[in-house]
Amino acid sequence: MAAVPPSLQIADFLPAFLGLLGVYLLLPRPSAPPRFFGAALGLAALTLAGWQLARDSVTLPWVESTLFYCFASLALFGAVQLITQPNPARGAVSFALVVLSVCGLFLLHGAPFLAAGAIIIYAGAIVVTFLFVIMLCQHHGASDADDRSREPLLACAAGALLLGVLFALIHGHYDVHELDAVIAAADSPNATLQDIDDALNNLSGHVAVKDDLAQRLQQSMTRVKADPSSDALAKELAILREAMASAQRWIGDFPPPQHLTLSEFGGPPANVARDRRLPAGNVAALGRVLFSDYLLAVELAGTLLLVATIGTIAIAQRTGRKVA
Amino acid sequence: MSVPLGHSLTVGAALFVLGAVGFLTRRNLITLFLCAELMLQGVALNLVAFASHHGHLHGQAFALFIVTVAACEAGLALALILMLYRSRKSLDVSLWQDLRDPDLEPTLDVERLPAPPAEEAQPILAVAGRLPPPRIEGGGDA
Repeated sequence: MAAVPPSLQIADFLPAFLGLLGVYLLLPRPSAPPRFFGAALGLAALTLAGWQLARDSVTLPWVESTLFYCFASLALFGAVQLITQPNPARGAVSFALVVLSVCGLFLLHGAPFLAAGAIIIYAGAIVVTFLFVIMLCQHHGASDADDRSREPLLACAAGALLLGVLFALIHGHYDVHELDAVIAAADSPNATLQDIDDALNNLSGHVAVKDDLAQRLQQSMTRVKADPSSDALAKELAILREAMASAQRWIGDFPPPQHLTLSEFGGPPANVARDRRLPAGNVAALGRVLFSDYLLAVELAGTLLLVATIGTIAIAQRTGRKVA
Repeated sequence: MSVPLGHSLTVGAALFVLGAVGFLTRRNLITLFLCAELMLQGVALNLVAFASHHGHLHGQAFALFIVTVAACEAGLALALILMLYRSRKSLDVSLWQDLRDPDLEPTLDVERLPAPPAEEAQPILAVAGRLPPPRIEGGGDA
């Protein structure tokens, strides 16, 4: 069964176009317009995208939504600063800001080890090394490297198109309001299981969610057939209602494959579990996953680090020889 | 309940596209590599979001490998940047445009850069106070 591709909405393209227009105005060039216009456009795009996200999803607890929107807008602000700032040292500091906010998003997604590792490696090591190189290669005043851009209009147009398509696809694919009709059928005062079945059959796309709910509905129907009292019906309706509320969370998923070859250290496989939670001990479970499923990849990554170290030393040591 | 998947995918997509636009437009080698790292951040955010969405850690393991490869890339890139800077005395990528295909036109900078701001003259202080004692020529340490 193939999933029906979501239809693209023109409104979803708007924040991408506004944002990239702002970036185009902000990009360094000799006769740049005042930064105010680009900043205002970028801010409008950010607000619009945030409003669209908040409107078209399940309501979050306020702590999580506040943290998410703060970290996300900080990350995007830092990213825009990085690509529009003529001074590369300020760009490096903006990149550190991006890394810190993305690590906040990692924490919101239950990845504390990765957040700590990324802060230590990126913000601690990579950005500092970049700053060292910037100090080594420092120069004063305007330069071709910092105050000009290559093809800003074409690049921003391509970026706006790509980002608009990505936004529209993500939005169409994870639109939780597809299920609203089914939930309304379950919520109506004299609902029957047949109503829910009809509403479920009208659902386009969202194959995994549909199959799962249809399965639960079948079970409820056989149980109600065995015990046709109104109490039993109410109980089954409550169970289905809860299943739909949690189905809104994994809407847009493809049905998982039947055979999964990975171990269960990292969590129950997707084709068995319906209650999806990350393992409690993040570091311990991640270690088990890395040293069982990804043992070969860990060895290769270690080798890669060694080779990169040797290569870096070999490249940087060639002094005094003319390259050009 | 954690943050829905679509939210984080949106932020990841925006970070990736901003990194790509920066990589295409900027001319400073260091900024280019920072933009590449920005794209990697967007991808890592996607992987972590998928991990929490599916409830198993394989996405986080992938993101860990991304961080590893990014560290290798940063080391090599900085060594290369230093070498390139030593040979051309500038970080401008357009100085290396003679590596382009032979049938492509060279890009020339027509717009003139703004003149650097004139340095403010140092204030000239009025002579005040006593003259210091005259130095003895060849007198060794003073």
